[in-house]
Amino acid sequence: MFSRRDFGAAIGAAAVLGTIGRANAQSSPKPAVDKDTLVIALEKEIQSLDALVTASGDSQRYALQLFDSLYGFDLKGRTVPRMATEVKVSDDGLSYTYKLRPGIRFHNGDPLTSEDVKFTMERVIDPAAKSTRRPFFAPIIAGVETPDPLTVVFKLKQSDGAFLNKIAGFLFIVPKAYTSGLPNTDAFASAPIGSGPYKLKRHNIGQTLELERFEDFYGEKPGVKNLIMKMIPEGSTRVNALLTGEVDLVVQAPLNEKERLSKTPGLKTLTNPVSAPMHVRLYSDDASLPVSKRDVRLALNHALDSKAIIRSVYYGVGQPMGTFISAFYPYGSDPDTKPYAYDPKKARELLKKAGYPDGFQLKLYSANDHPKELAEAIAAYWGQVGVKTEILRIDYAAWSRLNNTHKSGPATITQFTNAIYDPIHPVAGSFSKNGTWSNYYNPEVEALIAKLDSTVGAEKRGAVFREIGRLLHDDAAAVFITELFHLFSHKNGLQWSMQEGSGFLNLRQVSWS
Amino acid sequence: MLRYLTLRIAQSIVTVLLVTMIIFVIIRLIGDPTHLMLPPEATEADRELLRQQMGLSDPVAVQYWRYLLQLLHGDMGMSYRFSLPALDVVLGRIGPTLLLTCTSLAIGILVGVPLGVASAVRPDGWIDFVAKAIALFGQAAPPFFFGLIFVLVFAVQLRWLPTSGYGGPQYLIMPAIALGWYSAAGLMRLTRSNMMEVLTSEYVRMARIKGVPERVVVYKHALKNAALPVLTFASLQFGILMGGAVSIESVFAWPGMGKLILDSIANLDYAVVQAAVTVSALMFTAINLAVDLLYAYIDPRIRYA
Repeated sequence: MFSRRDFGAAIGAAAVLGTIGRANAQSSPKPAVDKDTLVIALEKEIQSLDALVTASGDSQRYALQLFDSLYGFDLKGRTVPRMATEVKVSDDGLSYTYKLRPGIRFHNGDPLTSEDVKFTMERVIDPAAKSTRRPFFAPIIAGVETPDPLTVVFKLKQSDGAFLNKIAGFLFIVPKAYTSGLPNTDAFASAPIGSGPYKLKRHNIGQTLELERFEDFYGEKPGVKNLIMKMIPEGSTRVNALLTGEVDLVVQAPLNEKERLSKTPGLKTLTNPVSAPMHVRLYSDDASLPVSKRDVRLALNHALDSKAIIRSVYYGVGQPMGTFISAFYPYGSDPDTKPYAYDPKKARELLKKAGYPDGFQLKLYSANDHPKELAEAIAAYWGQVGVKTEILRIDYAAWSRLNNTHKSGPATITQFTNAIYDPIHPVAGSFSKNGTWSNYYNPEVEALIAKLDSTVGAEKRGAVFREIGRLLHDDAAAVFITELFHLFSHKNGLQWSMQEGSGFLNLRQVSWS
Repeated sequence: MLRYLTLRIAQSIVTVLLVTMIIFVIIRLIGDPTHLMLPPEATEADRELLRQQMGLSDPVAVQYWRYLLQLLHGDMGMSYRFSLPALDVVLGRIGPTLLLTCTSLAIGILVGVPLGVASAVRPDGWIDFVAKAIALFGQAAPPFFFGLIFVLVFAVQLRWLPTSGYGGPQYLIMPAIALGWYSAAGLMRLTRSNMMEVLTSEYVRMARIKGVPERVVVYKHALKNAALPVLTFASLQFGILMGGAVSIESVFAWPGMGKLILDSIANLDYAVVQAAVTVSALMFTAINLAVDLLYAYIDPRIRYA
């Protein structure tokens, strides 16, 4: 076994040993294959092509290419019409009526009708389909009606202010006749039919996914005919493949390669926020713990030098946060809610005020999905103000179970990725009384979260979220560290507009100049 | 001989069954995949519902019994990650894994054994010096280190070979040499020390006194006797290379079993872990069996024991 650090050391040594000059370090501006083809290096293998079943982190690499939804997100995360042309919400918020765009076809030629939409929703809710999206819809959907082939009505059991976003982010429409005719629910994953701008050509699991432009796509067609996604798990190998010109675009390049990539002529290197707050979750609802005291939580925030952590652990790719709502959501963040100042003296005073003049012992869980150095830095900063921190570094799978069942306390490092461009996902998950990842309770926050159930529309929801954000900041509900970013790099000749503020890979707008 | 063979095959089957049982239980102790699959919005009830669909809510003993019954039909369960039969997922990796393992082992044997013999025949000669240097690097540095250097030199700088991937022979060269070097180092050292011991033994001296040509002494009398431990070592190397090439598979994006097992454990894809371990155990015991039979051929004493 080897760690990322071993790799770093090896690369460093290799650079010295191999007298690696920079003579050849100019990437070829030409496409790896031709101007009809884009070759992409992916960080992780694609598992299942059933975007309704597989986890969102798996589907986010291909879902926007293969599939389409009634509404979708523009590049900034605002909901826009796609397969539907309009949506009407009833006054009681319990009925959503979508009008479908006429003339849409699936990859197999089937025309889109409201029956397909109804079938898709029912498939998600059916436990036998094992859909990971089920928890988003099963509790709220009362039924789906299809008054005519181009009208579909979702009836809700209770109002859900984020329903429009959930439909846009999770409900990738599949054809009823084809899907229900498959021998079993698992079969769709190997032979998916959607209505997105690309269709499946070939999937070599663990090696490559090849997609081909769907010429009957109703919308604007991408400028590149073929997409070839290569699975290259090792970060430095992905970067090397770009440097040699074998691939055109690298997804999730390692942050420590940012400098090398930026300095290489012929490449364009970009960072994209994923609207994910990296933070320390605190079990503040347990009155026996020091972290139940607001002053202690404030002290833990003031004791951290986030900027230094971003510089050293994240190679400068980060942005300190003052609350839990990412600045890259289309609404809800408040530029006036500033990050806490790094002030160890104040932190010590706050600890004294809280009754811990000599600090205390704290266990900090840290899963192996984020850098070990992050936990070490946090422990070191807290140690300086007297909070003796013991790091419990464990495997992500084991940690997930603890974290989902309220056993990762009193503190754990974690993050919450944006899935639907509405902050309800992280806010309710981490700070509502019933949140899976919440051990925090604040009646004011709780009341505002409840209010959001019946609050529809970006502007109105944004105002409520800004208020929640301020409350979470004032109460130091968690220890806020940084926004997370993904690093991309591609050849200069490629024109690509990426999906901002999200982990979703959007290749709908690509072309070679 | 037939009795010996039957006994060894029976032992092998018991070993494989034990291995599958141990892995079946252990992987379930690590965690529960529903925690990784479902979003945080999921409740415990949601997870339980999914566990039922996946057949994970029954007691482990019941699950294992069901697994054994399925196994009789060649069914190793479904991979939740790939929505495919676990055995298909594993079999898809067998080709690349065997190709890499066998090529690396062949490099190891073809480089390690002759170098070991040559340096044993003339200790401290120039061949011995070169061989020692190769062995030192091969054993001191982990294979992925050479892998990374190879990529920088031969792919990024010289542009002779592709950086990574699976396909024609051009993709095989760097990972096979990086891995094979490691095996060659061990094989060379073992061959050398065994040969040196055998070459000073009385029957070798006797053969020389009788006037047998030196070539025959070295390759027939000495090497055949020095070969037993080398054979054992090579067969163990096969197992190590097959499952332990994870770092090389990562560096070269090689679609092998090692990375598959590691990822499947990390994602708690029980069925794939079980299938991969079962298939590896079968292959490994088959190799061991073949080696035992080879022993019996090389050393008659084993045959009649």
